[in-house]
Amino acid sequence: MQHTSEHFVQNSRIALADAQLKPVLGAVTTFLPALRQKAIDQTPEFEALRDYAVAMKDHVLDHLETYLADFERAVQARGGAVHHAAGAEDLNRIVLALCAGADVRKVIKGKSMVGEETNLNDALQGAGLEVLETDLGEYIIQQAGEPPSHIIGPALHKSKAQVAELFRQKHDLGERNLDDVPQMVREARQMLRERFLSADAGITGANALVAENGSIMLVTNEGNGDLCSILPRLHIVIAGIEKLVPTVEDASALHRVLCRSATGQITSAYTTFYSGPRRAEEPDGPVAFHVILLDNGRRAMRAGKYRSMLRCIRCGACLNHCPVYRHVGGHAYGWVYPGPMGSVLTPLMTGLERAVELPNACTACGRCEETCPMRIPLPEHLRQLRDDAATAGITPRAWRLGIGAAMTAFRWPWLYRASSGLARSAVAFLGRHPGVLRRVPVLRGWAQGRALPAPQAETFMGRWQRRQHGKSGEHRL
Amino acid sequence: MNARDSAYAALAATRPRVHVPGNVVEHFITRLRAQGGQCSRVDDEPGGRAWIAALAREDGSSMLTAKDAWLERILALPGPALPVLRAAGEGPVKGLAITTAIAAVAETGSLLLHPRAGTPMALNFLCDRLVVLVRAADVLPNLEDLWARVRREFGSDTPRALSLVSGPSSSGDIGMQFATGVHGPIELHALIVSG
Repeated sequence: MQHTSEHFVQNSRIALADAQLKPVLGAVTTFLPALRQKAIDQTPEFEALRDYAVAMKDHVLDHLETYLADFERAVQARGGAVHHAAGAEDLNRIVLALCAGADVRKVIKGKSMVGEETNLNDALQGAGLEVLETDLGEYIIQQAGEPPSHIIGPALHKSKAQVAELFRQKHDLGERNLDDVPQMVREARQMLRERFLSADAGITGANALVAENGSIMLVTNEGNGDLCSILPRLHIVIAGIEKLVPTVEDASALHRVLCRSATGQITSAYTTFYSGPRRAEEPDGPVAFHVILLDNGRRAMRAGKYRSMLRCIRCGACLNHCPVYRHVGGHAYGWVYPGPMGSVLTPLMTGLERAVELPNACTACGRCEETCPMRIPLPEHLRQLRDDAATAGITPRAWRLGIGAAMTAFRWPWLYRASSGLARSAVAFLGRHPGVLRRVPVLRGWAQGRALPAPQAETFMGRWQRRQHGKSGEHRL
Repeated sequence: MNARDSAYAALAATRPRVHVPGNVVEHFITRLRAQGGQCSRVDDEPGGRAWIAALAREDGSSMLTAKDAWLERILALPGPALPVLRAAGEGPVKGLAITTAIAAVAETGSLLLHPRAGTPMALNFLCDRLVVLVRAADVLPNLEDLWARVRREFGSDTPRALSLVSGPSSSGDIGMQFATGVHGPIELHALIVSG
């Protein structure tokens, strides 16, 4: 997908002006947190489950290379093969070579964020292969020619009416009723079934890689990932190296926090552990099983201060609880990963210069860290990235000037008091005359769609001083 | 034991379990139903035979069956006529299919399915209605019990695929509205056989 993170502010303006997007985002960021909370309320052990998941993942990161070696040996022992990809292009090249070697023409895919990360579909199509996304949300956006807007629900930005219209355009099925969701779902089932049966290769991601037995855990509600793993003669698994867990019990431990945090489910409809190609006595399954492990900046992340980002299990809870995501949606972030986790991962994976605005897309409310099942200190990582940007001198000039002015005011208490008093008067005036605010060039955009609240009659400092003076007069600031 | 494995052993000892209150089988039924699955319970194998015959009559199509000694024994019991049975692996998978689970998990309302000779994995994902038989004694409290069972049953030679099926194929991708039968079974029915 096209990388437009450097235009986050501009992308956000477009998103904020999209009248259709606003109610959809409002619904997503209300409905999914409510489902999550309900599932957590049913699980008294949830905090203990989180603690274990974090400790287990940290343990794996401490011993990553030996667990990787165990996993590779176990896959090979079951007749599969493991490949290592340093970067996005390496992964795409390995996939293409495997497809060429097996005379593949038709590829079906399960949802994979790693595939999005490496722009795999473009690479496959560029080589003349036919590629079909099979997760319903991914299928919808592939048909629409759009990138995903949410890591769990890639098409959540689209309304029911927009999906119905898209199906009418893309499916040559004549006049039919597409008024409700079950009808659209049946139509997608009908369109995809034949493609599943005729595919040569299936490409899926993995929610966990199990070191002890070389299996991959695949989590879906639709069963599309399983069909991609079972029906074609070649199964290729693509996954980041951080997906490793020691045992199947640990995969289940992660699964418990993943499902509750992502969709508010106690479990997914399908959770399957696959290892190796079909055995002689089995009537179906792939004849070849390959796992490609992607680094793409992960080892560098592990070695530095952003190591805890490798705990991320791609549940999307931080997106659903982020006030910035709630207003601008996923496309504004301009790359594969949106929301708070995306604002950390995008600069780390694609370069801070290209995504310097993202770490600033934060109100510092802390809800992302509160809800992250893996307790990733996202606000702290965003602050560290802002710090990195300032150190590297790549923070936009206007922001530098503003922060410089604020620092000067904070350094001189009399200046801070004088400027906050002036600001209070200005805000009071503008609050009483909303039309004025909408005519000020810098503030025009901000003032559209929201009213300025009337401020208190005096500043906090003024009030504090007055109260202290009234008490004893000894503790004046 | 090396340093890594010692550290892991200490960590694994702290792994929390999810408590399953009350009757395990009742909990399983409640969980599976909450996830869109259906569940019935019969007292014995002849009861299971009668239940399958009634479902097949209602469905009206031929029935695809997994190759499983327990299932074959139940189907061979005397009782009302069954529709044409087709062994899985012979022709396309569609319509009503029936298989067995080696275990079920009350914590998640899941049935554990795996491929065997004569029982393709596609059976579980391509049919329209999937019926899964499981013994009441094989309904385990939680996932840790399931993995202990798998280790006991298979040792280190675990099946190539182990699938925890916990509801019908479903999606909320369009308008966040729950809909079933996206790719896999539109209906999932667990039949718990006691006795």
